[in-house]
Amino acid sequence: MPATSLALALDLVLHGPPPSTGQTPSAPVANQEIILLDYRDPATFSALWLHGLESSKVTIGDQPEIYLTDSTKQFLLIGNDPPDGIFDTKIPALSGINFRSHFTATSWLAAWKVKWEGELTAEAEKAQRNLEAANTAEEGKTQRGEENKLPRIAVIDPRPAGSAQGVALALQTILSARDANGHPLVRRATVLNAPSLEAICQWLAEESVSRQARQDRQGNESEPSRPPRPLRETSESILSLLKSTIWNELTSDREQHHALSNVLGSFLLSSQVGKGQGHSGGAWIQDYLLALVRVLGVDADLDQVRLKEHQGSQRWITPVQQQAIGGAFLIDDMASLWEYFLRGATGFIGDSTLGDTGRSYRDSFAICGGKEVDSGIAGIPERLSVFFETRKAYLNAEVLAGCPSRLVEDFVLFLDLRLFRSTATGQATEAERAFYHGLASFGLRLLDSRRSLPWIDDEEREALRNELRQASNSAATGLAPPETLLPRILSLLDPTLPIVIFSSTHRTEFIEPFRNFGNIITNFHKPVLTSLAGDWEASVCEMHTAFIDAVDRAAAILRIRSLLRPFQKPLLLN
Amino acid sequence: MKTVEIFIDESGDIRRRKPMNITGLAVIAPSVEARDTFHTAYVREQEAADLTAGVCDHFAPNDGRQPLDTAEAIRMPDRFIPKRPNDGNWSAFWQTIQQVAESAHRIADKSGINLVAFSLQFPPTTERRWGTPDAAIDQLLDRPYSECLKDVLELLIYETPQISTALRAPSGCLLAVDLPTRTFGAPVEQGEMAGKLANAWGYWGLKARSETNRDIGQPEIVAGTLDPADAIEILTTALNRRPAEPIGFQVERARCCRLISWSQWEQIEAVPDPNRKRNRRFWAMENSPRPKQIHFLVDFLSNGIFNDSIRPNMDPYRVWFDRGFLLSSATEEAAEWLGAVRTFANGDPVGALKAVNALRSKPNHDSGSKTAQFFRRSATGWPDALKAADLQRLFSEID
Repeated sequence: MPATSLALALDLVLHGPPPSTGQTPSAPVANQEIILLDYRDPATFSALWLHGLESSKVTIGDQPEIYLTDSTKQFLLIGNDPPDGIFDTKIPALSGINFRSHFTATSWLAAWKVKWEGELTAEAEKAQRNLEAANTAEEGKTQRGEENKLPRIAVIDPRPAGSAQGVALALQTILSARDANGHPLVRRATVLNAPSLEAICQWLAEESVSRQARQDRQGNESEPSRPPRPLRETSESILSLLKSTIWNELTSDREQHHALSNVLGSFLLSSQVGKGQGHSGGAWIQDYLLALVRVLGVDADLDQVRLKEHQGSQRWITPVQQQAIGGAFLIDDMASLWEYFLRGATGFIGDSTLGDTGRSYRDSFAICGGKEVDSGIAGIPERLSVFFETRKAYLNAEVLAGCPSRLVEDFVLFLDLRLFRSTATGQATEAERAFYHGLASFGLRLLDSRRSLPWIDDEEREALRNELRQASNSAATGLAPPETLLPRILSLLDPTLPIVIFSSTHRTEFIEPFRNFGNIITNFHKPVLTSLAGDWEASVCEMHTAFIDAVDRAAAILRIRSLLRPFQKPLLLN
Repeated sequence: MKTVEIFIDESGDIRRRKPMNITGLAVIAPSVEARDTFHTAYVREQEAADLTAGVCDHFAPNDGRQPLDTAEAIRMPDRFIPKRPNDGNWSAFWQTIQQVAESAHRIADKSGINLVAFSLQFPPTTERRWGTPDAAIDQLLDRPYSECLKDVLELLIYETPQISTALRAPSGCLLAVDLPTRTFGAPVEQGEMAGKLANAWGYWGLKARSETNRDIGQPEIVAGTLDPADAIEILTTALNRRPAEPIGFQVERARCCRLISWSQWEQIEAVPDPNRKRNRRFWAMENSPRPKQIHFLVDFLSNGIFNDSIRPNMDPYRVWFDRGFLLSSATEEAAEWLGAVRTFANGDPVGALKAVNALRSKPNHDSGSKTAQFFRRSATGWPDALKAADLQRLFSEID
């Protein structure tokens, strides 16, 4: 049964027919003990994720406010999957990424528990200290128990148990788990799969039984053996388990190129450099993601993250450094995603003129990649061949971009290592194979030319030649990853073009091949989020330092590029 | 075998805190025969046109005759180009020089010879005093212009494409260098002359003499500060500045020549020997190799460039200077550039580029100056010579 129909049916069963014609079937039913929330309704979904994790009350459409922390209520979230089409990403780089599994009703419930149980725990501990100071601890315990209770919430998943995948399945398992005494590990929350009406009613009735028992206990105050109420409904360790399950799922497969962690890293870093301006229209995917990670303890300022034109920035580099590098160029298959951060960090925004370049700050930044159907990256080997034929010394932005660019020859190249999306099975696509085949052909031509290739000696030239010959052979072993070929070939072709590796990988085999290439800078990395949840601020400081250092090194290389320019032969030997 | 002859003269005096130009012509010939034909044709054409300027090997050959016989054989022409115009008409004077230059250009073309002009201006500098207690002797000993000559020769031999290419011709090449001799006079107080002359000779070996300065009427102690054979030391030093550069040519001659103008010929010299009365001026150049007639054109060219009477954009000078250089260490940075290219040639590309970077960092640096353009051309291809370690050093050491 579709979730919305289920919501309608349950509403009818639990509350009877609507009192008037003004109420839509999907609207929450308020002012009753049982609240039905149709998770498949976009307005409900947005309210829960964007406001329900921040505030105790939400407003859905033009309905009255709902107090999600009202312990006198029971909430039924009808449906588990996000509404269809809710994630309008606006950014081509995000297409193909599965966000939906991270935003099920189960995920929301887990995040909500982490958020509010944590809040109440903190409040309770504070109250406890105050009460102990007033020597009225016993009375306080009773009061605390009443005040710190959260409402019961159940996710009604119309699908049978076991049909969920990934984080939804993991969270569902935790939410449904019980301890040795048969008590749920996560109190007052559950996921009911394909439940019968009876099962739903039974779950709802548990609260009535429990409430009656509680009232009975409160009526017998002389009972001496009753232990004090627990400080919290769900233990801290279980909350941590929920938190880490969500976080790990967000970040676990970071080495797969389009892992959500890459996207998340971009959004989080963007919040460090943007000077925000709200966007109009519906929520964007980053709004949901950042709401989620804030619950997990990452202090990201939602108000500053807007993937649209900068309205100013909190750049990471100084005006002197801006002048020194003159511009930045990003090659990344997710360039449209990372552009915001890099523009902000470098401050290449706005229409005023950059020094004596004659171009605006905005035009001093260019990208290649990031479109859904992108010939920019795929065409790089061919464009390098054409450039090689010109016998010129310095690469320019137009060669790299494959389209006109006002950046000329002096800029920092930020280069991602993984430029292609793998297939679902992790295999290279046809486009990727063609790319490396073309790149290897060009690389061999370069090695066989009479150009000066200062970064390699004869032995290294032979080793690279061997690599290039086998670049198309996926079975070849003992070679550096093919992703490292493009930076090295660019470095050889233009030894004074500063190339900052703009990748999240820290693995040695991806960095070691660049060791002898003096214009490749490897000290900056895109954020790796695996263990960042609790230490995001420190990580940002570290990245900021590394970024400044990378820019300084790039500027030093560009100074030499400028120094050598007058002495370049007009045409090099090929 | 190709030949390269370099004729140099100077104008101005940096010891008197004035700028100095060292200017010259190089005669690049495809063979010894072509070169000799050029010189013969040139002096004959000037002689026929009454446009010779002074005593040269044509009038007083370097053929081993006794000086007295040589002196007797000299026949001074009735008409010639004076050192300066007798009637004060400088305009006509420089037009005449232009005529001589065009003649040289025409004859060179006919002989398959390239004439290359060059001029390097040096700034007025503080005297580099020697440590003697006698200021006058100090000035005679101090020879900053011989250092300037070394700079010019280094520039010509290693950095001037037309010349350096000829010198490295696979068929071999002969190099000849004719520098000017030079005398310098230091003022001396009345009564001190005898002592100074004795000191100059007895202590330093300077063949000094007493003269009266024609301009101010004061006595001066005068001595040659470049003797004929000093050219050997100057050329050797210039060549040794580039120990890493292979030398594939042979030095045919290197000498300092004294240029005696016909207009100085009748000036009275103290010649006690009655046999020397005739052509007495010859005895002032008795011990000097006789120059080539074209060296007098170099003398005029040098003065003309120094005084702005010759504009280097006028033909044929323009053609000649396009093949050579017109640089300045006074208003531009020729000395620093030369130091940089020398450092590079001697195997220190990082040091060379640091020197260039220091140049570029100067507040009044003009990257479009003629000097900068000349040396950029000379340094074309430097980046290709850089090794990984060089680049790494540059990346880390240049701010």
